[in-house]
Amino acid sequence: MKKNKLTTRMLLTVLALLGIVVWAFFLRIGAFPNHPASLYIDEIAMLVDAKALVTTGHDMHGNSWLQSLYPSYGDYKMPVYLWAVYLASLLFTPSAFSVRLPSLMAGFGTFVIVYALLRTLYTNKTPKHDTFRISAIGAGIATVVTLGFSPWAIQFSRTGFEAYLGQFILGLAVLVLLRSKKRFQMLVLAMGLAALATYTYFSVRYVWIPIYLVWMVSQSNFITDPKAWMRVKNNIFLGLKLGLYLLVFLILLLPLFKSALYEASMQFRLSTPSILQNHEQVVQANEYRTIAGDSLLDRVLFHRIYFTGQVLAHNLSEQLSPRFIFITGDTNLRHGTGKYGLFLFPFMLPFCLGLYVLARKRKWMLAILITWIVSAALPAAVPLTVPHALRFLNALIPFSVIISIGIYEGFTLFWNTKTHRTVKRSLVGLFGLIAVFYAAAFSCYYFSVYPKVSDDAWFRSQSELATAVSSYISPEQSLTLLGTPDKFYLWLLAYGPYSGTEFANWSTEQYQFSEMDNVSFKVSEKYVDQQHLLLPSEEYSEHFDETNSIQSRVTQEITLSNGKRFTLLTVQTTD
Amino acid sequence: MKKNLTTLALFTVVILALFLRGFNLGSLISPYWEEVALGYDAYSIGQTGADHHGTPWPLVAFESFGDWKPSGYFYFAAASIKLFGLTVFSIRLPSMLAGLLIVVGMYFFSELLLLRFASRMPKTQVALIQLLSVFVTAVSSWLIMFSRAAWEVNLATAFLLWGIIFSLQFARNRKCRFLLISAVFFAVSVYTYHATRVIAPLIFLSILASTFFENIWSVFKKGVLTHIQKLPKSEVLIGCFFLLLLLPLIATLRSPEVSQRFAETSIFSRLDIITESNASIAAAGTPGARVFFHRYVLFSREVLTNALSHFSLDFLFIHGDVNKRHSTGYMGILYFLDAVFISFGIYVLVRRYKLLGAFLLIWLVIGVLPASISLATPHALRIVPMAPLVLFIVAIGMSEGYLLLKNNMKTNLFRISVISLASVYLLQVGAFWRYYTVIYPKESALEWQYGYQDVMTEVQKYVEMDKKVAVSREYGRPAMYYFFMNSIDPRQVQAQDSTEVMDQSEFITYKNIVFFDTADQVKDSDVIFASPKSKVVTDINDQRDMTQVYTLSSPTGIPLWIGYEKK
Repeated sequence: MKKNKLTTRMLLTVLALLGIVVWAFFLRIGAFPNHPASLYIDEIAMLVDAKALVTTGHDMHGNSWLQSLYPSYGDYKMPVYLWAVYLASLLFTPSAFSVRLPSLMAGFGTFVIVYALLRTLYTNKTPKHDTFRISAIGAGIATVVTLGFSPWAIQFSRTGFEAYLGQFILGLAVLVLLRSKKRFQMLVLAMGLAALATYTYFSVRYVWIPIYLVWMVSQSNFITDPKAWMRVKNNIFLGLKLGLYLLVFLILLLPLFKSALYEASMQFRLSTPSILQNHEQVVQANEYRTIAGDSLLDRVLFHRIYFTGQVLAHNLSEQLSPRFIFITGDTNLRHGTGKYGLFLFPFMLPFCLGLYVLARKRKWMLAILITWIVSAALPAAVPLTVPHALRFLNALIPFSVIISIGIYEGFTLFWNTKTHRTVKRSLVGLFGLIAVFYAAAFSCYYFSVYPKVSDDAWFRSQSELATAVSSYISPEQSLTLLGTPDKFYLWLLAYGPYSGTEFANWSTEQYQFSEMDNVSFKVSEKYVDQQHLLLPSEEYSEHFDETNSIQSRVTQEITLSNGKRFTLLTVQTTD
Repeated sequence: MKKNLTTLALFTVVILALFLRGFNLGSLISPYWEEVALGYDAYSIGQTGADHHGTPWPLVAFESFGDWKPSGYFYFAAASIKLFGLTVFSIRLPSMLAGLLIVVGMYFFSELLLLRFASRMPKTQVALIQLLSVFVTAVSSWLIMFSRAAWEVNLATAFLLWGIIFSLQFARNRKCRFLLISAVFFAVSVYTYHATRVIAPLIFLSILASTFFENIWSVFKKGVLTHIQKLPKSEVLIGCFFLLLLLPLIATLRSPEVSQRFAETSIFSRLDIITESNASIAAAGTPGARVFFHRYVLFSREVLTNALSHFSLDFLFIHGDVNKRHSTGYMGILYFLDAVFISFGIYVLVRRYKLLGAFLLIWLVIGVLPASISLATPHALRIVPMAPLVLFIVAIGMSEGYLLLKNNMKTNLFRISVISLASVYLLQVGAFWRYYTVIYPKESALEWQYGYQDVMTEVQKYVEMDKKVAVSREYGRPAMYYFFMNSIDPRQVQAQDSTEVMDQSEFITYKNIVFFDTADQVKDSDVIFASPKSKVVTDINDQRDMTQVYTLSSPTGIPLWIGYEKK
């Protein structure tokens, strides 16, 4: 009887765990790649590049696929994600699927990284008295529960953002670093992976270097042995040895620094409004110093560096705020739902518990994880738009590790207890119920409500318009498009009857196509008979009135999902 | 010798606290309208036994502008005004003294709390924490800000703290007189500030629960009544006495005196949440949507968001409250270094003193609850009742840091470290003080209704000449400033209460003065005082039948008031 009870309990547990895995899997695969509904501008540009790469081996501007920066539409993309899209496009043809597939795979890969990091932390080779142990199953369950229902991870694994692949490769680099035991090959591999991650997402270099430095200190005995500071020769040798690996990393980045597009790409990135361009702090500092009397003390207390630092600290605090991480998330509807945090609210408790456990039992690992999080937050805190879920993506893995530890340790503490077992297990059950409620609410919102409110964020109307007019693009008839959204040509290139071989022949202005075969975006001085003309419906009378000798026939009325209407005309000249 | 040194140190810190709270109390910053309203009604009570509307001895709340302020502060201010006259200093004095009471109270509070919930802590460390608690509270920018103006919350927090002190003392020796005193302090706190109407009874209950029900598990097993039946009669009587003290408040729970404030400031009055709920349910169209997106679920999200906003790093350590009356904006409500000490303190509480940590957590949740269900968060004012516990945690972190350095460093290095840290901390305090006394009065003058004092003196000159005067309401509550700045006899104001034009209990007319919003209200006025940006001034400039007789600018040169007289 008791054996039957045990078997039933085990069966129910296995079924429950299987349910969690299937649910988490569905949150990533369900309606992929058509949810979110359409590709946004960067994804569209990647699709255009993929089309060109598949047919010609060159990007849309005719540059070789092997380049350290892709011009794209003037936003200078890092190459690795595009290579992944290229590969996916070769296998599955260029489409939304091939653009988003690398992110999906990076998402599954992130599970493996978090699991492996947990196993690295809780190494089996700990002394007997060390209670810091985790089973493979425990680590797996904690990982699936944390990452599987993280709105942050789910959103970015379904969309073509380079940052997601970048954080996965960075996580791999950190994993290799932590398992390296200072072996030469492993450290070189870690540096190589970090460089690859940097070629995937720009800000990775600002995260990798601090992590490596903290790891270096953790491997030394400076803290435990104060006399270690006195051994100068040893320290110099150690510094040189470990600095050499950092040099490997920097050498691997040389192709990037030496690229002809590097300076332009930096200018583009720095053009984002940031605290570096903000001069308010200087004005404020001067004002306060004048009011205070401009003594030496006042010049120190009211220095502009203090006020600039204050703004940076404010942005950092917004980026790390519990409200952003666990309640509301990013209000930009491409980066989140705006209604659920980066992690669901119930995971705040395991996060606190995870921090506490690490502070007690693995201080150096906590130092590395905190450094990882803070150095991921810093590049995100410099621009004025904060908080930012995309720019903060490098922090996904360390957060997941800490929460997973909290889940595992909390469950172990409360479930395996000998005192007040019923009460404590009921608390675990209650926590589980709340977590399931939030996960169900998020799932319902993400698939039912979010698509309806996020159309504009995902440029859905551009996709609809491009699909509608694509059939009118032909060598025989010219098409003029007026009043279309900014950079609409990208959607035409992506969805239009172009193979990709034509792109390199067209002229561009600052990497934006100014002309395409038989397609124009300017008002014609002279219209050709049977020429197609697309314009916003409310502008129709502007171009065609009674005095005009040009007649037109309405070919199609297009109403987009955002309510905007376009009229497609066929021009009939009277003379 | 050691005891003398401790006493000297304490005395020095209290003197420092007195200086930081008392320096130019009445003149550094101008009074804002709530202070003036408090002061004038307190003056009215002292002179006539009724508020300026004529209501005798309000017990639960004063009508004021129709915002029904809790009554406690008025009576203390009345005593202060009786002694020192109707001045800005006298209305702020109760808050200043309350601030000092908090500083002194921290000494006893920290000792009793540690003896009750952390009895294993060595006595030397307890003494260290006591000293540090007093010091940290004395120099706290958060509490200095709220001790230097007539803030009801500051007075309520002082009563709350001393209520806790006496109830902890009762828990220690079960002498009923301490329970009685604590009940009185808690009750007075309830009548002094809106939020403490919720906080004080809950904290009182939690302390009593921990005193009476040593084993929570046995309460569940045997029942609450069984435990209460075992209590001494005197303790039960004091409990009933406490309820009796709250009876006037309980009896008026549904009246505007108590409920209006909640209705005006509560997040449950937000219609956008209900709209969002309905829209999400309609958009989802699934059976579960009615549960997942129910307005109660969305309101709970808002409550959580509001609660968590009070723990944001920006609010605590970087910029503080966006309301410049509550925070300077130069730094957070706590100093930067407090972030390190708080982290340390929390770690130590969780690691070694779980019971103490649990009690503080209960206080924290209770303390942040009223602010969480209010609009406008985070709010440095509404969470002042939490300040003692936050500063206590800072003191614990400081003491642990001190001991950690002492046990792990050589003497010289230890001394250098302690002196360096102390210097940095004092530099922060000095920076705050420099900003607060030199920059803040000028930068934040508008938030404190700078200029009314001068303007109302000018207004009175024309009133005494029997001229019809019009004063703009742009800067808020000018009538109250007029009554306060000119010490108008409350009997005269009371006599006019039923005949003058009012806007939600605020005087719009008073004898030959009109406090106007629109230009048509000033047609018959001989003298007009308004903001240079107002339409009335533009009309006057166009019509050219009036002469400019007065101007006033803010300390930073922004024109604030302009006065015109008919030619």
